[in-house]
Amino acid sequence: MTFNSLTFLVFFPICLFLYMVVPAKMRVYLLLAASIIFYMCWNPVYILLLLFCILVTYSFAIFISRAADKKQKRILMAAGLILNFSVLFVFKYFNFFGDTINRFIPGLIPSSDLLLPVGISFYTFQAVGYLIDVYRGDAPEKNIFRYSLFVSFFPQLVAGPIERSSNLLKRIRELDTKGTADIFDFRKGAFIMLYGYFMKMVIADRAAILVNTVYDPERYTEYAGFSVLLAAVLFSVQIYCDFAGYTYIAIGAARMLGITICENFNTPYLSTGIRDFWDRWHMSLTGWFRDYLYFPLGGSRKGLFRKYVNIMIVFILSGLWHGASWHFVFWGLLHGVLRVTEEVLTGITGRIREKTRRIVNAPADDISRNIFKCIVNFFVVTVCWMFFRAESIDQAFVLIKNMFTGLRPWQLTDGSLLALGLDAKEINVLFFAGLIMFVIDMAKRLGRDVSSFFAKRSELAQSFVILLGIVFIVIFGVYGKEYDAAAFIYFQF
Amino acid sequence: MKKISFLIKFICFNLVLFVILSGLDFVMRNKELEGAQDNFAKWKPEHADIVFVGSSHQFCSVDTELLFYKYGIESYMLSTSAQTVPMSYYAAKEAIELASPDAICFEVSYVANDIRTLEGMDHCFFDGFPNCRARYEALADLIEPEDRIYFLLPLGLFHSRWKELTEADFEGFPVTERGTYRKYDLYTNSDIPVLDESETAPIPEEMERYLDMMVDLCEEEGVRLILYTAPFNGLYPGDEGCTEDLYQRQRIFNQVGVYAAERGVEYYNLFHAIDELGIDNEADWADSQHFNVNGQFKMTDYLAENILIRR
Repeated sequence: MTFNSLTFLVFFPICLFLYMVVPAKMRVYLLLAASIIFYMCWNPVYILLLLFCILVTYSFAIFISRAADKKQKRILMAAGLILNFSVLFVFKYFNFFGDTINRFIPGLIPSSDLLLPVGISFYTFQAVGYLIDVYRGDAPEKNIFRYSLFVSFFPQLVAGPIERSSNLLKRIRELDTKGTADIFDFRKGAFIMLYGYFMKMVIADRAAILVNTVYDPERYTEYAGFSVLLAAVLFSVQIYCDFAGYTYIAIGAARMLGITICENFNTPYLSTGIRDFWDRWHMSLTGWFRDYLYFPLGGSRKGLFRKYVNIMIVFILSGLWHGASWHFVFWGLLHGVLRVTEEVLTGITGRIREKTRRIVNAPADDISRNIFKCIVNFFVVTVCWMFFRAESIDQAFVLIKNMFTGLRPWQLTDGSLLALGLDAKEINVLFFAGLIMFVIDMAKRLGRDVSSFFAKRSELAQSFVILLGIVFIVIFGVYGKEYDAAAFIYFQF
Repeated sequence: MKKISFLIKFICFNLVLFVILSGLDFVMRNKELEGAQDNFAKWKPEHADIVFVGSSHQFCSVDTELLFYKYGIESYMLSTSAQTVPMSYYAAKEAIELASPDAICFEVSYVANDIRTLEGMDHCFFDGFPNCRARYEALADLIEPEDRIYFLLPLGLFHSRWKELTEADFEGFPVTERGTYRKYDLYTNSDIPVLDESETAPIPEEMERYLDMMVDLCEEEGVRLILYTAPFNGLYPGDEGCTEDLYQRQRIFNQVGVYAAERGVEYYNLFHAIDELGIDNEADWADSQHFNVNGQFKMTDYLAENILIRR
């Protein structure tokens, strides 16, 4: 059951209605049952993996809290982590590991035909984060139903955001006592959900048509110049709208249930550098790696060299988290190199810039400079995404080479860009929808909360906007029978 | 009080949304293909004589307007493009449920196509299908459970229709009096090769089952059932494969004659009446398989004078 399936459009209102009418004490059980049904819609058997993850982290957290000394705690935590990561390894990384070994010693490791359970990386990281929090001194949750709901809460179960116990578990504990969403939250949630659907169905899935044409493994060598450039830019747009769209639907749905979950995106393409980008892109994962990997590795406390090594480790593992394939690892490595380079250069150029600024008496924060940095950063990130989207590192290099060597001005006028799966009308819709998204992102960047602004308008105005949004999505959305509703990109992670 | 007020607003909002989506659904529908089904619910004659069911061979062979104005027969053309035999059974059921006709006339050429539904063409039959019991029985029987939602809410299929909307889409379904559809194209056909009536081949099992169901339905309801086959040529006349395919179909049509005799049902295989029909290969065809309006008039006259009006 994906958020943009008709099943969910029936499931969620029923769930919302029941949630509003059941006694407060029943809410946890209702949401837990809904979450289990939601997950089992993909593959009923894989609910066992989720239950395993819940039971292991729940019981180990309690053991850790009762352990006599730090050494015992550490052993228990290590055991909990090994058990959870073993499941992740078997289901997600076994074939990658086997294929890599088999390249050197052919036939040594047999391949596994296990399907990748949806969202396994997300819920495993969330549960492991909780276990580490308990090891660090947080009180464990003793009520297994509440804890199970924390790990399996359906809006963010399969594609995040990766929540912290300090936020989500705290809110779940309050379900028995606090009321459901007030009217303000309800409307705000509905608006956020609608915006998520708009991003996913109108922008991401439309951009995907052109991107899939150019990245087709059988035909990608036929494309060059502006065709590849357009596909690369549109993939940047697609992955943002796909993932952020999913997150907004999750945040909105949770909000309508009266539960606030964390933000995951903060206008990432308006960032001015790689560090800034990662502070704004998939923030919950970045935060997870920072708190549970980068800091324990020593962060920046052990000298400059160790700091750079730690950054590289984090980014390589982040690449591996995104997919069990070398092109994901390479993508992570690339970001790591860029991040370290930026760190090194910032120190040098910062000093030069400061001296120059004093000489020419320029303002400290120059808007044109920031716009330029945004554009450069977007281009750099876009090139990196090509390694992420390609089927292999080789394919990405071929496409990048063709992109730069095949640039011909007449491609812009001879109609070849309109032969990539999107006709002029589709491109117009994409451009117009992209413009709406850009305006909303700009408003957010300038500190305006668009959803709160919306929720404060008159009821008539709100109803009008929501109706208009629904009609726009129904007419211009990419969906229907031939469309694969399961194709949220981040589900595979 | 607050909750009641919220509930009332919520219901009002959803009602407005429903009205808007219904309007959108109306605008987005392919009106040219669904007209016959959609107009059937509005057809309220004082007395219905005949309802015609079947595929495009049926609606290209009979002009219900001509039947009314020339012969006084009040009839409706409920056939749709690629209407399979199971669909025709449910169309007959729909006709009996909504119009209680004296007779159902079924053009059986699709009996040789051993299919229940034809991907992509199902919506011609279902989307305009008036809301009645037969519609839901047909959906339950013919459409896979995971696809039914697209027949109940066809809006989900119209994701690229916005690109081709014209003024006509906002005006509604073209009014087709009595479901009449006329083709005005002109095609020079070659002589239709006809097999001897004695050559037969089994009717596909599943199609025979639905034929049985239709015969039983008409018997139970006391409705006269007329089966016939309109003549047509191979898709590519002269092509050896097409001719063999046409022969194989004719064997099945001949077998329908045997079947009809056994079940005591009227059946007219007009492949054996081509000369009597007076078909002019230069003037009466829209393509190799379908009559244009000239051929349609000749077929209608023949059917009215020889079959439909009981002597």
